[in-house]
Amino acid sequence: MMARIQSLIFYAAAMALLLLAYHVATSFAFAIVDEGYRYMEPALQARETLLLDTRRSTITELKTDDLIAYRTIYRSKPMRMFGRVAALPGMTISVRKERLIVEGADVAPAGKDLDVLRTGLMVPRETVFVVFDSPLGQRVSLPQRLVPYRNIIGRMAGK
Amino acid sequence: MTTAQYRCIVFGQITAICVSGLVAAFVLLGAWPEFSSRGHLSQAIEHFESGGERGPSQAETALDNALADNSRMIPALALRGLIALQKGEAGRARDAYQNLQQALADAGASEAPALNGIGCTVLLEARTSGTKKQAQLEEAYKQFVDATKLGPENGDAHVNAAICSLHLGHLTRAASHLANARDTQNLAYESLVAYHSALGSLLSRAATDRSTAAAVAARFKDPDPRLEKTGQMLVRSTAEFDKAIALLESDPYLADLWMNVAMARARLLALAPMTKKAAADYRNIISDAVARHEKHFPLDQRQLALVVVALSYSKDGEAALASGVLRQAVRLGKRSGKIDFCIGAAFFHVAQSVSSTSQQLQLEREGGGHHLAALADPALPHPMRFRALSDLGVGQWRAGHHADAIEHMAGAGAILTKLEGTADSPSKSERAIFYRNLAVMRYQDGKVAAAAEAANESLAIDAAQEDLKKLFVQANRAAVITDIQTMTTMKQPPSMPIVTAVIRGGGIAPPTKDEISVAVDGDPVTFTIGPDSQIYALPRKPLAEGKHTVTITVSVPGGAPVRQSTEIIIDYKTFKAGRKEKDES
Repeated sequence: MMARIQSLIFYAAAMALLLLAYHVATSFAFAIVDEGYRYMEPALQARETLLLDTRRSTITELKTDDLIAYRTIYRSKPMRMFGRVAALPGMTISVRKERLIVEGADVAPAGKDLDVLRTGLMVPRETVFVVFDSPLGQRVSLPQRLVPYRNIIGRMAGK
Repeated sequence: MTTAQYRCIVFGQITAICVSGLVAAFVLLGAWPEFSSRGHLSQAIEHFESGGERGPSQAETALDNALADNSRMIPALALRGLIALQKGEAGRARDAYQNLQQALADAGASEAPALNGIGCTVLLEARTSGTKKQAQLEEAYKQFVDATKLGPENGDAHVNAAICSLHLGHLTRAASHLANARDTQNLAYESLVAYHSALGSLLSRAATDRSTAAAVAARFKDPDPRLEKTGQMLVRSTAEFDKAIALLESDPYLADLWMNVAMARARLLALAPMTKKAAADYRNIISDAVARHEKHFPLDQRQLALVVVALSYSKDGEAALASGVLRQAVRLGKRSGKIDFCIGAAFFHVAQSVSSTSQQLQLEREGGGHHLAALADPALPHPMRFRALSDLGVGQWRAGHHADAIEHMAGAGAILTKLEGTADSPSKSERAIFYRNLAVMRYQDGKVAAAAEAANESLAIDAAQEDLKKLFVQANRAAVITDIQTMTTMKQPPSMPIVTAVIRGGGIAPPTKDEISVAVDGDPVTFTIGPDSQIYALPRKPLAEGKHTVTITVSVPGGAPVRQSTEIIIDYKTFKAGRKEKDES
């Protein structure tokens, strides 16, 4: 009897471990920052390994200041980029005196490419607006900064 | 453990595994179509977003596979409709959205996205239809309004309703819809682009008229209180177009936006006061847009934009650049009557800013050519016709063709008579300038009375024309007669005194001898005009002692006769006493 119970417990545990492993494998991923990607220095360094939370619920519940990895086409090439969420869907972003203003709060410096935001812009549905920690990131254009949920790979866990 | 027990355990394990496997197979097979269709949908989205020529076709193939597994897949139906709209296939779009509507209804979800899509399809059909366009626009608007009622939290339908309203000319209604779209804070990326583009168009159109601008600003409820001012509204329209352009990056509709923002900037350049640097920046932006997006700018819009740039150069004193740009506009291609008029008027305007007479005549000759071409167009509106004839009159007069000039001015005058008091009446300054030019021409032609009449008309419109007042007074030449007295000399007998008077005419031209008459007791006498506007008259026959009446009359054309009479006393005794005193001294 005990042996049967032990056997059942063993198989149940094995099944549970398999399911857990599957869940972890589909919910998280590792990403390595590309060599030469400097838009997020000093927060992210080149060739740094990051753990990404790729769950759909995480992506739809992003908060400002979250660091994300996303797919984009940059200079006609598919590319993976990393950025910091500055505004969520429905928020209004604008630029005043070369500073990015989100819902009235000054959040980051703004480059010349964002001058069109003088009179304000609403972040579209299921899209986030990202900024970059490094001044090099200021050259990224407006459409490149509006990242739809479907292009987001995941949120950086632990950052 | 006994063998039997062992066998039971193994049998149980094998059974459990088989049952699990069967359950898994059952689940997998049952959910496989769903997984498969999701996979195809992801592929379709990837192909669609990658763009290019083959992207939409590859996306449609993937969608076909997705819908084969799950014909009611809502995202797939929505994407199919979107692709069909982008490709301009109204029939396929309508089918997709009608299927979407059914799928949403079956799922118990809001049908707003489907109604929005059907409205977009009708809008697409309206673009290509001829006589039914108005009705289709109304139908599309109804679909969008129904969608907003079913899904008020979704701003996309509000944006589309605003676009329909703009096409139908209902600006305040469009403003309300755009305000509602903004307030939902829920717009798809494509709708956001359409929102800013529509807002730019709305503000650009509303800025033509103060009352419309105020009404639109009131409906739109923008945080900027200055938006109701037409100048501010036009500036804001360019900002909205710029945002739409920045969001699109590369898209077939980008050219339309470039054209709209260039024309809005052209209007600002023409109407708004700005610094030289700002004007130079605007000129560069407009010229750039016209050159880079040549294929997407209609010819007349390009020509008009260049006319505005030329006028801006002229305003900044760059007459040579201005005339160069005007000639560039001419070289662009065939012109309509209205465009010829604008170019002609611009040449005349530039001519006023050059100091060299020969250059002025050359520019007026070029402008005159364009005005003649414009006048040959029977569809040219009367206000433009008036202005063209008026300019031609001035140009011909300066070139020495007086007869032609008078003819043109007469034509312009006839049109002005018809237009005065109507909504098409030329502006005050245009009318004042016309009458002024007419007065100068008539005066130079010797028709002083007629010149005074025209000058009067001009001064009645604009009383601040000091130089014209001078001409007016000169034309009237109202005379003033003062200091009528007699002068005696030893050489003249007392019975024939010299009558003197000072006669001055208004302005710089004193009355001539023919315009003056002097009479003593009603009998005309001879006289001469000396320096300082003084006349010296001598009676024809000796005058008896006593009172006599001297009457001086000045009759100048263009004015009423001025008559002054005074009594003189002829006193022989006083004369003799005076003479005796002189002889004794």
